[in-house]
Amino acid sequence: MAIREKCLYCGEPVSQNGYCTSCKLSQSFLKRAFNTSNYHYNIGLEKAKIHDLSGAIESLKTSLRYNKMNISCRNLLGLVYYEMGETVPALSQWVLSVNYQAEQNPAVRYLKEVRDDPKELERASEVAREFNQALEHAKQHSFDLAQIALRKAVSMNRNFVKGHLLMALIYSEQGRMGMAKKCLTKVLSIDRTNLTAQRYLREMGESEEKIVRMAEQGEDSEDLFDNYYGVETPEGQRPARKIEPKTVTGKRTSVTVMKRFKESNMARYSNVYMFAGIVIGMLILYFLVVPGIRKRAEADKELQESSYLKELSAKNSEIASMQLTIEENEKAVKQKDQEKEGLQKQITSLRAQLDAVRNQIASGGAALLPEKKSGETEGQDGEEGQDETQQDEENTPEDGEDGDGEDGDGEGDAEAGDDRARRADTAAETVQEGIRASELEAMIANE
Amino acid sequence: MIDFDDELKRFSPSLEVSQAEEDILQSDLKDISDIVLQMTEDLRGVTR
Repeated sequence: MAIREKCLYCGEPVSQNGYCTSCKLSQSFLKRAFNTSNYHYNIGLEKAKIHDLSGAIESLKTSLRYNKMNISCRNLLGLVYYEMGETVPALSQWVLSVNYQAEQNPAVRYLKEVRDDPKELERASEVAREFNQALEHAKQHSFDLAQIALRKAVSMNRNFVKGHLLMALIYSEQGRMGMAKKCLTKVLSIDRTNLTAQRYLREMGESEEKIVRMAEQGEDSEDLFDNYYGVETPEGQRPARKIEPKTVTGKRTSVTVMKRFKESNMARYSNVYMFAGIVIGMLILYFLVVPGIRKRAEADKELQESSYLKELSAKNSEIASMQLTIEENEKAVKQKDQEKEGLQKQITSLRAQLDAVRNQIASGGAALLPEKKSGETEGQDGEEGQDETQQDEENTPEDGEDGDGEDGDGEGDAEAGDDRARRADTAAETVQEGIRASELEAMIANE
Repeated sequence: MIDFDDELKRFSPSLEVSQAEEDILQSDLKDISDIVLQMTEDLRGVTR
């Protein structure tokens, strides 16, 4: 028994009768199965080429039922899933494909491209998460929340067929048939024979011809949302479209309609918006807030300056008044000094007078009082002046008695007596002046 | 007329990337050859 070829299924040698030596499968059977698989793969490929993605998926799945190791079929199925926004099923098909054939397999490149872009994987997960959330909200009839989540999902992946279908279902439940049809048209532009979309359109009263036309024409994905004013009319009629600018050129008045308003992808431009917001915030801060702060600071500064100036002027006036007081005091001191000098002069003059009087008294007293003992100090003169006067007075009667007694010297004695009396009076006045001078001296000393 | 709740039941949740491995393991990987092989093995077991 000669061994001619390897088994198509397990790779083991095939016996002459056409059966595998290991798995015992008929090679002719396997060939027919593989041919059928390739046949369905070709159909799937044709459908995929004309964007009949649902049909392509069906054909490719059938193809894989005949040959699960049909690498091209798996790779194409992955691509179709990826085109419909189903990233995870696509990855699964490519991973299986690589598992069956690691070399010369385009799926290796597909996986590498997806893995090299972490944002792509993250976005795929985010789309799935938002869709699941929307599904939950829809089950609870929270249509607004569901729509928000779906819009987010669809904005991240515009070919997400399931998202558009769910959105259409929610719109139809809300009675917004126009919007629902828009979503379904978008679905048909991605997947021309999407059975669910066709069924919904039929339920909404669209004819088969129109459905086919819609699928052929497709719809601009940018126009899916917010192209109309207000809420849809219940009858499914479209409300007024948004007014768009028109340009008139030349004499022929050829009207060029500008592109319609496009919904911006918020997720795509979020960073730009954030940056713009920061810039605008900084500009507002710089042009509005900072001048206000500066103005306030300047006003505070001016207030402080004015208060300081007031304080300064008050201090200056105080200083001026104090200087005036000082000047007045100085004048008063000068006056006092002058007075003092005058008084001192008076004192000196009085002292001089006193000395003179004393000298007079000393000279006169010596003549008047011959019995006065010599050797008495001048300091005792003031005190003893009165005694001397008293002595003189006492002595005077004796002299009179002497005069009475002696007749020959009568007239001469009387003149001498008068003269002595005058001298005594003068001496008394001098003594009094001396007392006053001493009192004055004591006063000056006190001052 | 579209029955919203019935239609909603036909929607299955989307898989996240972290669930890809689970999806691969759970996927049905049998083709016609596997089925025939299993059938022949079953027949052999019956004849023995």
